[in-house]
Amino acid sequence: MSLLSKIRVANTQRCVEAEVYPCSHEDMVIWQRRIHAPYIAPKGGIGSDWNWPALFLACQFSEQALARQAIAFQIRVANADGDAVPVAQAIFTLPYHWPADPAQSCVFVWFIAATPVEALRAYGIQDRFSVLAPLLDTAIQVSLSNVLGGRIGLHAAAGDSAAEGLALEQKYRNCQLRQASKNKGFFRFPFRRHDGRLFYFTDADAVAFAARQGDLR
Amino acid sequence: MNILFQHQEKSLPLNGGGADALSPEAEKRSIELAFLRRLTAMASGAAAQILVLADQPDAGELFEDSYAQIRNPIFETISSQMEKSVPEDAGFGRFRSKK
Repeated sequence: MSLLSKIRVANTQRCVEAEVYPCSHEDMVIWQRRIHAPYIAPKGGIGSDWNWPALFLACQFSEQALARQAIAFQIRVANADGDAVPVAQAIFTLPYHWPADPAQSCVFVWFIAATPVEALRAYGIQDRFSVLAPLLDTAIQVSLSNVLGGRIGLHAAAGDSAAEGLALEQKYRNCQLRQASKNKGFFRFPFRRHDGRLFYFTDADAVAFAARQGDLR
Repeated sequence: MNILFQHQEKSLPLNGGGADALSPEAEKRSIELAFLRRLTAMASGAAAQILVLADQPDAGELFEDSYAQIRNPIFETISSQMEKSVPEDAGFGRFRSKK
């Protein structure tokens, strides 16, 4: 597995040193206290009501009971004092059924969050970062190292407003993630229709996407 | 069947002996052996099926069900108790420090 060691500064060609940091429940608690509660929850929107320590526990319990593995990690950079500052966080599950073909497995990205700019400033980081690509790349690397071909899946949360949901969908499309068809994939009873917000990478998509991040390893 | 179970309760010691698991009468033994064969075949089949299921994704599982399970409020209750053990002043630590 070749994880990223740098991330891009948003809207520039510049990169900064970064680390992919595996997280425990304690790390989730610290994120919740220092990033989520003061900077994300008051803004509202997608993810503002998430309780990360509880989500971490739930994934560990629920997924392991189903013979799956849950992984939580942060992408961190350093401030001027050498202290770690998380710029993004995610929880994955594997092997989960792949949105494009439930007979195949993938790494499923359950929850992702980026540190708001105000929080970065408060911790001494003046840059803004492109964090979606590093998060997806980490999922791909985990998928590859677990012989899942790089396949990943995720669900775009709907949000409180249609505009918010559409904006999130567009972010995933911009990363060339494919959108699962409403008419295939998971078996559905008529009263439980697919909401059309499941996204995925095929093996080839994933390898191509990871190759585009090659200069960051 | 009840006779078989009653007989087992009497003759199978808790220490795993079981030398007299079958009835002494030949006609009963053949019935009991047939039953045990079916029982072991069923147990073996069930065990094999569990391994097969564990190795394959559950295609019938819906995303919404998994999500609802993860968002169950019980985990917030458990987590809030565990969070008490994390010091209030705990920070993110040093960059690239070994865990």
